[in-house]
Amino acid sequence: MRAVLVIARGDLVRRVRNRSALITAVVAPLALSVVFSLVVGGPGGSARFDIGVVAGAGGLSGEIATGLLEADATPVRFVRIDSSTTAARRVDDGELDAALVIPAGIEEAVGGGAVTLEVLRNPDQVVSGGIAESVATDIAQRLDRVARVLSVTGEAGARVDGSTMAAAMELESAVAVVAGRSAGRDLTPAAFFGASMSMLFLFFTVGFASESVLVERRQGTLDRLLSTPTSAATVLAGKAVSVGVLGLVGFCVVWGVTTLGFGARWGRWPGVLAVIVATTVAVAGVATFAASLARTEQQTQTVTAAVAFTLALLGGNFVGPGQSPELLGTLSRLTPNGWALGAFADLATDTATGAGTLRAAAVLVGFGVALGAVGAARIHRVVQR
Amino acid sequence: MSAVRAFVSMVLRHLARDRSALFFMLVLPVAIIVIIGSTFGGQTRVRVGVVVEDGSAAAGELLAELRDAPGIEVREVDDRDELTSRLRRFAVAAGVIVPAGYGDRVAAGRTAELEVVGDLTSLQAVAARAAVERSTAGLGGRIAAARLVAAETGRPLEEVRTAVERDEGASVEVRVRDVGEAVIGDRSRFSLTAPQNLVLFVFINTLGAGALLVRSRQVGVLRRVLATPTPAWRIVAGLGAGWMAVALVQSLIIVAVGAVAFGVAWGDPLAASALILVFALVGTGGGLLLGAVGRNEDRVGAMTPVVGLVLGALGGCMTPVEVFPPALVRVAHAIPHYWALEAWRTLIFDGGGLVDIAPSLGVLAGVAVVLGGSAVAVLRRDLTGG
Repeated sequence: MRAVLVIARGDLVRRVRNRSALITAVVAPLALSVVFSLVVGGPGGSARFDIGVVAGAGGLSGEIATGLLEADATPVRFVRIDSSTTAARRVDDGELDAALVIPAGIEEAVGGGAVTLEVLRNPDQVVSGGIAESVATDIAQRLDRVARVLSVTGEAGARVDGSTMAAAMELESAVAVVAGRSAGRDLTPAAFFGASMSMLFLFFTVGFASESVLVERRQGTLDRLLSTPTSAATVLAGKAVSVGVLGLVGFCVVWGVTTLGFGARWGRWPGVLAVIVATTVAVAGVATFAASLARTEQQTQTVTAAVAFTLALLGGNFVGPGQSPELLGTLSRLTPNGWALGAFADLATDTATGAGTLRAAAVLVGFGVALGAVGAARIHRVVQR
Repeated sequence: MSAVRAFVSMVLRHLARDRSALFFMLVLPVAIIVIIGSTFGGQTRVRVGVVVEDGSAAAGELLAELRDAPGIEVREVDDRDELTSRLRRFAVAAGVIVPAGYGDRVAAGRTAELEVVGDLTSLQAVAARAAVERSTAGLGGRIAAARLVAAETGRPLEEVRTAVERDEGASVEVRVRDVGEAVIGDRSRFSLTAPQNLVLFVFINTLGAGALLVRSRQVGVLRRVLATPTPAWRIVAGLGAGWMAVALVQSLIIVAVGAVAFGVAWGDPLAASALILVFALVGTGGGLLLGAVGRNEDRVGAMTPVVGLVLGALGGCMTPVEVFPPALVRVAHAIPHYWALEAWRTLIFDGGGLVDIAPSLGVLAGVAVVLGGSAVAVLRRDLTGG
């Protein structure tokens, strides 16, 4: 055991001195998780959308436009525009995110006439286009309510006046949509990407172990080491411990910094720690197996990168939870990445159960032990050759 | 000129040996275009799990309304646990819960609440929530309209509800029109993601010039070359030309795969070629500068993908700039990727030409000159200064 720790310590000191290992284990996942969480709406405030409104001067069309312009609809800001031609040009030039054209005489819709509300959008700005379309749909639904109220009230022979119409226009939906409690709280982007990027770069951190076996063999230091009473298994274990410690420390630093500095909520710490350890074991196993397929240092890097990115693509590390196409969602359950990200998401949203977390951790450790054992046996043969 | 040729062949030999670089150059960009494209680009209907905890007729009416809602595909789910499990398995993008007591609240004339669950970082969940809101606002609006009429006329609510449902309502069409001058009718759903990945990966790979330059400096190759009559700028030009050639080949492959396999219309060929060329220059300049200031090949090699991914994310290669917070939009303007993507949008979505993307090309060319010039200056000082 002492020999393992001596080898691990020596390996670790070398890696920390050559700062590339620190970049891979700590700087890279931290930088990427911070940047990713910022671009999807971090502490800098959310996105703002400028939507142009083109409307007739008077009548209902003008009233609706005034209502929109006066409303505090953060993050949407409505801007009055003279004509649909100007609006189209400004949307095209990127000065406006989208625009809405409310035709004059829109009240005709209430009396049975056909009216068209036009949304002008830039085809490469789907989010802004969607917001403008939602506003247009809301106006259409309000007109629909007014038409029905006037028509049914009129049928009954009751007097229909301006106040009825105004009341109908102001009606709020009897069905409200609220954020549910079932899935716990929202997943903070910093927590998701912190876990996701730490996991991705863990492959490269762990890959150093197998690579360094090949480097030491080339430089002849491995033969010298093996000529002492140190066994090949001890050398491998020492290297595994060094990258394991480095990977774990990197993961925990990202956890700490995103939590303290960027308000990420990873969930209850015992669960998070358990999943981090299990994920490190899983990635260590997969990376060891992948590296055992390589014969040269160059091949080790190639195979590690290919496996890391393929699993990350299938496991959903890049697209975020709930965004994967159905097939990919199913495939992600066949990867350690899918299991780990699922467990981290459950913990971060407070929907994790003890049994669920343990099951995910067991699956991850299973991945790691099974593939790691095969990989270690293959590398062991290389070491003894 | 022979010095430039020698460096070009050195770069190509280096790459032929480095298969991980080839993986990053060719396989990864195409895989990501497919996955991200199919995620964000085109699913027309988002899957929504619905749990109905209320046995009333009103709840049944709501479920029917949701089934008819455009943009979502309803999957009925037994209970909240099953819904959570489906959300976690990504089997549904969002969930709707019709809670017990929904029907009572509707009958009592109060506002009935639906719960929508899902992850707010997911664009699909956000789209699903918007579709659910639109659909329920239609139904909730008709219920509210019936209540108003019943109050105004004194007729029984049930009778008025039936009349309101039967009424034709207003004929208001919401028409969405794409602005711009593009002649393409049905744009490929990869039209947004393909240029993002082209820009992202070409930049990451051209930054790879950095590690090679550091190695060449470390083993003394550059100092030896400088002892010959070859000036420093020609050494930099030679190394740069090698990486430029690689960047151009990579760009052409991504453009070809995008066009043939995913139907991306990249726009005016002349303008597109100019853009590819100038952006490859920017990446190469960045790589050379990294290589000129870097001291350790491993460190520069480890930093390269991080710098490339961070700049790519900030420049809008991963999430469109339109959803950035305002402060980050200003940051994006300082990143060359942003200008390259602006130009690609003009070419792809507006059918623009060389003149239309001239401002972006100008910014990119300026950045390339600054980066390349700085690399030459640093290298000259480093190699001749002792």
